[in-house]
Amino acid sequence: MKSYDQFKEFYSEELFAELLVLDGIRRDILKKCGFTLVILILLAGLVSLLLAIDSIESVAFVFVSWTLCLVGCFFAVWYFTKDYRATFKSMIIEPMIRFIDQNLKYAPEGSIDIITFRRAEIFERYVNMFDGEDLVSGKVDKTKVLFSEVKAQYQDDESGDSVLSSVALALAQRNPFLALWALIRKQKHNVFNGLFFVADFHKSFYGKILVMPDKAEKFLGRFGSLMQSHNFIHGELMKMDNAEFEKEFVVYGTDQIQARYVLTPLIMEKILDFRKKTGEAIFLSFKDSMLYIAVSCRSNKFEPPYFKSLVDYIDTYHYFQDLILFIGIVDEFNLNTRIWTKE
Amino acid sequence: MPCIAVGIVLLLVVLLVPVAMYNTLVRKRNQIHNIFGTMDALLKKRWDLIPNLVSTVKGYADHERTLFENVTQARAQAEQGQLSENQKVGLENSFMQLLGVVRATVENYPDLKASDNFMHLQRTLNELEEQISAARRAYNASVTDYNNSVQTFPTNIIAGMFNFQEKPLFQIEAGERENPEIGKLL
Repeated sequence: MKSYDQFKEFYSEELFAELLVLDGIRRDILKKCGFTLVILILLAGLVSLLLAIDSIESVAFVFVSWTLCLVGCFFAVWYFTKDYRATFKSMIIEPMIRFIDQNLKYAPEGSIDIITFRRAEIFERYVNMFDGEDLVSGKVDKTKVLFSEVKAQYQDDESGDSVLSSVALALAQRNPFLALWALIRKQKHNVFNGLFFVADFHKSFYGKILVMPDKAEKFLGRFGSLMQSHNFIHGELMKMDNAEFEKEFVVYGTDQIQARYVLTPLIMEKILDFRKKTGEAIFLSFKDSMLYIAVSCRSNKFEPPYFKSLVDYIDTYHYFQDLILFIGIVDEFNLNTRIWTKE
Repeated sequence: MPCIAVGIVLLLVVLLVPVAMYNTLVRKRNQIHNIFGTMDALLKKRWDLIPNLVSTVKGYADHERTLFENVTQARAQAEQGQLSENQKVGLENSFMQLLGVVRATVENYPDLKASDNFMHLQRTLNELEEQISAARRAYNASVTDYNNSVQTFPTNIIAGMFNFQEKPLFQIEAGERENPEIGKLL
């Protein structure tokens, strides 16, 4: 894996020049956006001034002009920035991934598919809305990996009616409460928002092992542990022989021996390390000889700044750190060690 | 009337709580037996690999006769089937040391080390050993859980009444902690 010094060299030799060009584009965009916004606001203000607000019609005109101004502002921001994001990803993120490992591919608009996400069986909720970006895939030595940002959600109502048609139907029936209910019940709920990582595990095993953040035991102590032992959705509760790991995580599985075959003392240490490095809630699933890791993220990763200079070494290093954290899982978890029957 | 209802509820609690505690103890004891059974099966699987290992190594290092004899003898002992749990553990420990010697010996024969047959055997043995180690950890976790129930209040009352005995943990023998002296084993 690439070191800090190697990245420093790569930054000064390759990224710096690209970042300067991109920063010029960013400043142009800001100027264009600012200019357009000022023009639109002035126009809307002018319309408001010209129309004496003395009748219902003129109030309506003023309202329409400010609404158009707002829509115009949004459109202008979208129009001027749409290429900037894509250019940033192709000029900075893609070369950075290639620098870390030549065999990895990057698809800014690609994502892990919903079937893979569901196969991990980490989250109980049945996800019916799924989106993602920044897909990295390929082989790190012998191990196949892929990861991307994902946003998994579910909608309460599975009937398939659109929100508008439900609301329109309720209004036609002159029932405002039903209309409001149609709006509420169609609400989207977040299941998971963050980075989802999939890799080929180096051992063959059967069954499923699930490692989740231990909230119940942390807050409720022994009572929480008792509650966990009666959670039959995920499987049997496993008590692992690492006190710190037990404090941080709760493990469910289908077989006591398989769980320990997969979660060796070394792997438990590595999971703890990984949890500390991310600083976020992490979920792991070991199933069908595959490893799935879901890391919750509060912010959107691999996005360019708009109101801040791009030519900042520390900020650029953070992108590299995020990538190396995930690509480095293969080495950290020794996934390339093939001393068992799995080739 | 309410007094009768309260009395019935109390009676049910008095009857059901000991039943639940007894069932928990039985479940925990059964889990230990179950894991021990799986561990036994894994050990058997490893012993079954020995003839293959011996014949593969013999093809390249025929003059290491003492080593092969020791390995074959250990397997024959393991297959007797009348060993106590302690004897089984002792035999496993000495076999682990012998296996270490076989691996050290193989280092002297690069052709053998590179042969597909040996590499496959080596991978299978690695896998089995790690599974055995996982089974030992699972066994110890189950025994600890069971022993905690046998020793702590109030389940210790039921354990005492129905003769639930504490179980020993699987412990590494003193010899296994030390580096094996190859000369002694050959």
